[in-house]
Formats: sequence, structure tokens, C-alpha cells
Amino acid sequence: MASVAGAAVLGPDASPWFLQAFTSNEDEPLRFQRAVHCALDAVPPVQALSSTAQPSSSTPPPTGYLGVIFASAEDACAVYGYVTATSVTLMLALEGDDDVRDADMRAAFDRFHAAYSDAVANPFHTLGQPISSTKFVQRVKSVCRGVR
Amino acid sequence: MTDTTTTSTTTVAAAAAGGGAAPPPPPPPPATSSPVQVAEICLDLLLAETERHFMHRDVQNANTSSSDDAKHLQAIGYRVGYALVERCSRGKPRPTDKLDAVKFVCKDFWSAAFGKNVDHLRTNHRGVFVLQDTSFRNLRHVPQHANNDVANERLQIPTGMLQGALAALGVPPTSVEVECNSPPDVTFTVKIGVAP
Repeated sequence: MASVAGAAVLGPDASPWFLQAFTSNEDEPLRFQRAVHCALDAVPPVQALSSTAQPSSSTPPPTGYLGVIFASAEDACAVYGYVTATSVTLMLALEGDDDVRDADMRAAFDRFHAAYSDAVANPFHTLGQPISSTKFVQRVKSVCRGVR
Repeated sequence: MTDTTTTSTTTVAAAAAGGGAAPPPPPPPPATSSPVQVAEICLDLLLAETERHFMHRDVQNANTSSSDDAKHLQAIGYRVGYALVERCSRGKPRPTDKLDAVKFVCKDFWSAAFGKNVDHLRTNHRGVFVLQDTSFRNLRHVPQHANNDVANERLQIPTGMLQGALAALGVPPTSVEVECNSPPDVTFTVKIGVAP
């Protein structure tokens, strides 16, 4: 039985815009933050776009669903990643040993991205600052509950 | 809320007066999954009122110059453009170069924001892009021989939207200039990574 231990939104410069652990265990938030920071290494860094087309030899950094980007055996947790077209990274950390189907994770990230784009459109949100909307937290929680 | 009630009442009254036929069936309950739809004229009126508020407030506050007001409108547009790109780029890959980003703006962003694609896109491949829209949505109610200032007011928010959209895609422009000789034909000159 796998369940979501936490969700994160990171800006193009890897600054945390949203970090939330969904657990009652007291050490859990720190464990989750460590997993997120470790997972950042697996996300390709954002490069400035050149004026000319990339040479065919260098592949552009991947976007969309990235799959498992970090897994830790001792914590029994796996971090899944997703990069939007605007270079914002979304992460969901799963704990438990059961495998989750890729299609389920893709669907969950689609809903997570929808929640994020709605949160950015909120006129009371300041661009480039952490998201502090309770409605966003509720929506992310419901996304996480949907992952089984 | 009051407005909605009044409108529906008038419709029913008109239908009853027009021949005593059976009252129209009640409208189907709105589906919860479909997005909320709003009449386009509401946006037009809101934009017109916003422009009027920011461009003609010199009477109340003599300290602000008209370029400050234009900047204020552009800042509003920037916010809108940034958030709108996040929404309409869902499921799309990240642009690989500047031209790719501008093409995304010309197609997906423009049709989401202004209802159609950009008509012509020209570039010198060194960071200068010229976007021409021959029937720009926000100028469709501006008369062809109107004073240039009238069209200019209407173009401040779209200019900011263009800046915000490109910034969200990772290519913040150094300058965006707008030119409009005969509404609704409008030309945006975008410079990315070159001195303005």
C-alpha cells in the first residue's frame, strides 16, 4: 500500500514555493524535505534559451512527467517528478513498497499542475513567492488521496 | 445576482406575452465539470473601465505622469500573461529556443488570450521579433481613424501580457514596443537579449 508522504512545488531557480508533508509523524517533515532536496539533483538545471536552435547533438532538457527521480531504500520512499513548460518542478513523495502505476501518477500530476496553475492565477498570490493559499493545500491533499 | 434574476424574469414575461404558449422548459442544471463561461462583453467593459481609471486619474492626483499610468497597466498585463501561460502550456513541452518560445506565444497563448493566432511573425534571428495582428481583438471597437492615444491606451495591457508570457517561458524580453497606424491592425516589436 503506497501513500503520498508529501508534495512540493519548486520554482525555476529551485526555490521552494510549496513544501507540505502529509503525515502525523514528527520527524516526517524533515525526512520529506531531505528527499526533495536529494531529488533536485536529478532534475536537469534550467538553462537560458539561446537565440539559435540547439545543435541536434545536445538534447533539450525533458519536460512533463519524469517518473521516479529519487528513491531511498532506508526511508522506503520514492520521489516522482514533473517539469512544466515554464520550468516549474512539481514533486510527489510516495512511501510504502507497493508500485504505483505510471498512468495513475501521470493523472495525479496533471491534477497537481491544474491546481498549481489555478493558484498562480489567484490575484492575491505574489509571483515568485511561496504559495500560501489554503484552497491550494486542500486541492493538493485531494490529489494525494487519489494516489493509491 | 440581482441582474441575473431580472434578465430571466423579462425573458419569461416576453415569452408569455408572445402567444401564450407553454413556458420554456427550465434550463438543464449546469455540469460541474465544465468551465464557468462569461460573456465576452464583460471583459471588454472591465478592460475599458480599467484603462479609463488608470489613464485619466490625473485630476485626482497630479503627481503621476501618463507614463507611470502606462507602466501600471503593463504591470497588470504582466501578471495576467504570466498566469495565462501557466494555464495554456499545460501538457506542452518547454520551448527549446527563443524562436520556439515566441512561436508558442503566437499560437497557443495568442489564441487563448485574443481568440486567434498572430497573422505574421518576422524575425532577424538575432533576438528581434515582429508580431503583426491585422485584426487585434482588443481594438475591434476602436474606429479606424481614431486618435492615436485611444488605441495606445488599449494596447498597454496586451503589451504587459506579452512581456509576462515570455518571462514565464524563460525568455524575458528587453523591450516590447507597440505600433498601431490603422486599428485594428497592430504590430508588436519584441527584443529579447538585445539592447533596446
